[in-house]
Amino acid sequence: MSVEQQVKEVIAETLSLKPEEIDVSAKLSEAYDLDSTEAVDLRVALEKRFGIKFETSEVAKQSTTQEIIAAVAGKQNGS
Amino acid sequence: MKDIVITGMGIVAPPGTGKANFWRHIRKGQSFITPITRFDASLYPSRLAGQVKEIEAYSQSFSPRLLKKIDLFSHLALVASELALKDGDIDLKNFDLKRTGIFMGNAIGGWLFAETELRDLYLEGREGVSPFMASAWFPAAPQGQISIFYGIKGYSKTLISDRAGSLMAIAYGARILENKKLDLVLAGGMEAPVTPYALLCCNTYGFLSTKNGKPHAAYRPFDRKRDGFVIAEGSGIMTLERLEDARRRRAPVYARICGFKTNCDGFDRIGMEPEGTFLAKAIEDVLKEADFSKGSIDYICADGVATEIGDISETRAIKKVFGTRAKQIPVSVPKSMFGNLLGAQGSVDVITTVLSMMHDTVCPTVNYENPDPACDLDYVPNEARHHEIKRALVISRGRGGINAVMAMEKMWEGPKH
Repeated sequence: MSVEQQVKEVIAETLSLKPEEIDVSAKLSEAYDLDSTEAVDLRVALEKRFGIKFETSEVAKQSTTQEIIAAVAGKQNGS
Repeated sequence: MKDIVITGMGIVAPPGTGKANFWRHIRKGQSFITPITRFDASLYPSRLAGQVKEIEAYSQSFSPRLLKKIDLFSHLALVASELALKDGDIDLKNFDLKRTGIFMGNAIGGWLFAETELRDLYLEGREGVSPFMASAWFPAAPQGQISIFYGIKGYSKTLISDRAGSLMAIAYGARILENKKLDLVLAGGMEAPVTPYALLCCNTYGFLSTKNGKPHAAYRPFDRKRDGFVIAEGSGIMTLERLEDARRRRAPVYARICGFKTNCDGFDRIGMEPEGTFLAKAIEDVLKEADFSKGSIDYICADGVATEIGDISETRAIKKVFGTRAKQIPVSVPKSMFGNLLGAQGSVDVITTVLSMMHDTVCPTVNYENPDPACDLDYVPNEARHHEIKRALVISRGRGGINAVMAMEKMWEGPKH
């Protein structure tokens, strides 16, 4: 499964949505009303799924799914 | 206390959800106490409970995204709040939400959520703990969730006073309405103690029945063979308004809250003072506040903790106040059918009493088979009784000698009647 699909799955689970409902370019707080506690929950879920650590700013209310996918890909590539 | 009335009632309890379901079952004198099935309780001294069924069927208004972030006790409270608002024909769009308040009571907080997270803390470390733990477990969490869900912004409080918490919360909310600081109050309580740690704590304080082999016969208030109560989960929430406001909007008006008094025995860290001296004083004081004569009380919904000192001291207190008339007043413990909801019990007792007033029926004290010479009142044993109730008292007590008594009066007004 691609990184994009996996990130969408984790976000969808956090928001109780289906992965295909996620608009990758939308800010999570604006499109899905993600609050600060849910942002922490999402960050921890992504860390568990990918086995990597994120800064608070990398997975935040203001993040888009696209930005998170890029952050995961970047960390996996060691950049 | 003048002209504060109950205009809507929502209940989620082991006998049923919604006032009609609840009433249909408790008037029959059936027991809803069963062995605990949520987890393996086989090694606990008391492993019985009144457990809520089919809560999901009443949860359509609440998203899965919300429900996974909150404890069961908040979930129960949200369902009961929704039922109360619907029952009271209340559309919050017609109310000033800055003048709407929430007054809730519980005894132990949200342990179903907390225990799972504490397990993860010890197994996985800090990062194993859900961030929702911060807002899920604490006793005021249901108040917060109700406030967020409905956008309620007014003066609100959560009261913790062991098993007397929700009766105090109703009284506090009524007093704030009386002072005209608010126009509408959601008041009541919620409790979800059927969890491994909460059950352990309840077992430790020594008030729980260990008659595990006979769940339906375990909780037997005022019976000589009693050995304590059985815990239960659920929520009872009601809407309170000033009578003039309720009449203006042609609301259903069920009952008037006429007085409330509370005090402490100052005697023991767990048990009650055996003579019931301060419970008697609370009853005397509430009769004065309500301006009720002793002869006008038609019913007492008792605390009925089913311990020797608890039952005897409660009986003594009632006899001290009412003298020879005490034996003519029906005194019952309807929760003997479904268990004690701890901090939520007072609000469930208030709703039970209102339903009893509406139906001219006293619900029974079940499992009353062996009279105790020290408990010689009319406990309405085992079967409901036709009896008109105009004025009633509700008694809640708590560990450490907390006494709380509410005086209520029947009303019949509004479109539903």
